[in-house]
Formats: sequence, structure tokens, C-alpha cells
Amino acid sequence: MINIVLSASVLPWVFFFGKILFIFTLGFGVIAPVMIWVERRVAAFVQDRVGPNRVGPLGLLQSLADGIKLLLKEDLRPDEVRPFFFILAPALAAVPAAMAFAVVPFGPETTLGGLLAEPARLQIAPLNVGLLYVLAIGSLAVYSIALAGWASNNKFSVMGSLRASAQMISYELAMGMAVVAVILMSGSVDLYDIVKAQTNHWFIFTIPGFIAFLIFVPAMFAETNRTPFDLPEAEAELVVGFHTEYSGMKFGLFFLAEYVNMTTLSAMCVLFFFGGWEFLPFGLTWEGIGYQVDQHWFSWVIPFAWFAAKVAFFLFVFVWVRWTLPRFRYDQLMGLGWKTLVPIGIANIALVAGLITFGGGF
Amino acid sequence: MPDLHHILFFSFAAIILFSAGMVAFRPRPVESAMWLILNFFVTAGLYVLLGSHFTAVIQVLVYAGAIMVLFVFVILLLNLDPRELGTEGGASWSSLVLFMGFLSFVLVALQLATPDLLKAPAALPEASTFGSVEAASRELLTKYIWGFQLSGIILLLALIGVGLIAYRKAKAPQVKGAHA
Repeated sequence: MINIVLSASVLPWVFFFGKILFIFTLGFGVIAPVMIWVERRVAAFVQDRVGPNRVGPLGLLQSLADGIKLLLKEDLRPDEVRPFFFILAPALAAVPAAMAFAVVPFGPETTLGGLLAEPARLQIAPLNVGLLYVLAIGSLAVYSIALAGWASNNKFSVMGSLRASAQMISYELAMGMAVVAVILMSGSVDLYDIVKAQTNHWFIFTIPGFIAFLIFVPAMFAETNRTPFDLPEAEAELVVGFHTEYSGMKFGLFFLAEYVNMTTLSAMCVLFFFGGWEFLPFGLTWEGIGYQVDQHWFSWVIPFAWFAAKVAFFLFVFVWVRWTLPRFRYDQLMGLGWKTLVPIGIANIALVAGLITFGGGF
Repeated sequence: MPDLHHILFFSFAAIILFSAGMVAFRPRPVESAMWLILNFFVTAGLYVLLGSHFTAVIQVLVYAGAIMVLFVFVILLLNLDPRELGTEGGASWSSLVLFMGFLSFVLVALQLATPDLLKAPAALPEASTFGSVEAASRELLTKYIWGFQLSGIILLLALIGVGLIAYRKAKAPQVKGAHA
């Protein structure tokens, strides 16, 4: 039926724009608002409260109400700010967050059940340097925070920015070291190839993969500036640091970017260590249990849902950790990054390289 | 007849030249740094036009994402005042216009001297492997191995030097109990 509606020449374009629409609607329209609701409900649960439960069923529409409030709020701008950079900073937070989404693969290669001439990737931009692209775009996020603090012309905000810059530079290194181990194990920087390399053998179940995972997770929390690494915000000492002076939708953009970045990093974690959309480790792939991922035009939905479930678990871990662990002291933060994670990361790279060269595998 | 490739190339080139000018002519160091980041970013765009995605990503990752972050960090830490720098008010717009005019003059002169310069570039190597991670790393680790290793040693020396200077500072007398 669908063949009649969509002629063969139009279909690749429909597929292309469909992917873009799907991923961005999901990222900005579903995951971010729902995560904000989850965050508040879990926080309430941890602190023995009820949490938002008035707007819609279980309070699910609370984020929508908050979004409308933020959009309709007066656009306040303190007198002493540097206007251009004050407006640029929140935009610089949202744009890289959206850009990183462009290379996140979300399902197996598919022909949509034979509709497309050759297998296409469920990824907006099939870039062969996808992993490096995510790291590169991620490293730009620090500018929004640095500029926000500087442009606010507020000493607490500048302190927050300085802490954020130092922290993000330090933990980018640790994250890079963890990722190099993954690159060595899979032999590629293409996110699709990394998942393919794990078809029978998730990296989390290898020794170097597990060590890399242990480095990646704290680096992930630090890169998104979340507790226990939320020193740039530090409500009690810095009155939320870099975004003290922001209100309305400008604050909303920072908030949105944080949740989108969390989603990207959770997806990376699943792609690097937990086999992406593969069903279970040790050979129990979709083919292994007899599921054809390319039988109908909608067959990719099941692997995608499984991938989304894994990502959702890590998003939950973000929230869980935030409301369970206290904040680090600044010197502890730097010490952990430079004296523990980076050296372990370098040793891990040597271990992977040694195992591949002399041990014939890992 | 200009195709999309040419239009993109010349717009990128124009942005690169303009942002380079702004780096030199803005009074506040932070603004200069922002223009330099834009410059690096658009340069990465030029690499993408050449089909070399790897170089483009590395350009953003290393220059825009790492080196410039340190620049901005240091500028914020020092909190430089244009008055202290002696760049208050910055260079005037007329000097920027003069600078752009000079660049255009150089371009026109080059065009007159070597008419082939602004023509389409010679055919690029086959796009399938050119600029890919595999091709770039193979070149780096075979043909250019000595340069590659040498730059590694230079970076290591710089690192040791920084450590040495910081260590000497740390050994200098300080308030008892103060944290380094």
C-alpha cells in the first residue's frame, strides 16, 4: 500500500526528513520535558515528598505548563550585562546540543522492508567520524557556560564559569581516554561500526571495556555539570553560578540543553558499552532469537525501542545519582579527574593495545 | 557559472578573512577569542568542502574545542581590562576597513599576477578514501612518522616544563596550611 503512496524517487527524501523530524521531535519534544518531570518526581520520592502531581495525569503535563510559563515570562535583562554575549550564551548551549543529535544512530540498518533500494542507516548524518564529531561538538558546550558567566557581570557567575571551564576541560580528557579504548577495541570511529563490533560481545563484558566504562560514567556526569559534579551551579555557595542572571526562555534553553546533552551522553554510553540496539549479549542478537529487523517497514521499531529503553535506564541513573550523592569539594573534583581517572585511562589504553597486539584479542 | 561548491568556498573564505580581522581589531580579549573560534569553525567547513571530514572534526575538537577553551579560561581568569591592555576603544573601524582593503588589494594583485589562482582547484583525489580516518592515520604513522613523533616529544617537553615551573612555584614559601 505504502508503495503506491510513495514513489521510489521521493522515498529516500521522505526517509531522510522523516529521520530528522523523528529524532528532533523525540529529543526536544518528548525526552527533555519527560525527563524534567522524571527528575522532579524521583527527587520527591528520594526526599519523601509527592512532587508535581496536579497538572495532567500524575503531573505529566507539568513540563508543558512550565514551558509555557518560561516562554510568556518577561524577558529580563540586568543593566550591567554585556548584551550581545548575554543573549549569545544560551543559544550556544542549545545549538551544540542539537548538533550532536545529528549523528546519534538509533536503530539497525534497514531497507524499510524492501522499500529502499539499499540498506540505509537510522542516523541523520551517516558520518564516518561520528564518534569524534560527538566529542568535538561536546567540547563546544563549555563556551556557553563560560560566556554566560562572563556576560552576566556577576562575580558568582564568573566563579561558576571558571569552575565549569576547568572541570569540563579536565573531564573531557578522562572521557577521551575511555573512548580511545573503545575505538581500539572496535577498530573504528564510526558509531555504526562500534555497535557492529559488539554484536556478540558487548564491551562492558571485557576487562578493558569495563575499566573504560568506570571512567566514562563519572566523566559523563562531570561533562553535564550534574551532581556530584555540579560545582559550577552550587546553589548554596554560588547561587546557581553561571545562570544566576538568566530568567524566562533564556534560562529555559540552558535547562533544555542540559537534558538533551544527558540524552546524547546516555546514548553514547549504550552505543559504546552496551551493544546499542542489540538484544542481549553473548550471541543473543535479534537474528539469534529469530527476529527479522528488516521484515516489514516498521520492523526497526522493536530494536529502536530496546535501544531507547537502555538509554532511558542511563537517564534514570543520572537522576538517581543526582539526588543520592552529595557534591564534591573542588580539590577532590580536580584530584579525581587528573590523578585517578586520567592515569587509569592511559593505563587502560596500554592494556587494550597490548592485548590486541600480543594477546590476539581482548 | 558558479556552482554550490564555489559559492560555499568563497563565503567561507570571506567569513574567515573577516573574522581574522575582527580578532585583531576588537578591544576586548574575550570578543577576539570568540571571533577566533568562529574562524576555526569555518576553516573546518573548508575541510569538509575538500571531503576531509577527519581533518575538519579534528580542527573543531583540538583548536575550537580545546585550545581556545584554554584561551578563554585564561582570559576570564585574568579578567583583563581594556584600559590596562592599552586597547581601550579598540582599533577604529576605519583601520578594519583599511585592513580588508589591503587584503582585497593583495587578492587582486595575485589574480593579475597568476590568473589561475582563483580558478577551480585541480581534481581532488578519489573521495572514497581521501581524508578518511584510515587514510589520514596511515599517512601519519608511515610517511610522516618522524614529524609525528617529534611533535609528540615537543609537547612532552612543554608539559614537563610547565610541571617544573608550577612545582617551583609550589615550593616557594606560602601560608601554612594553605591549599596549593
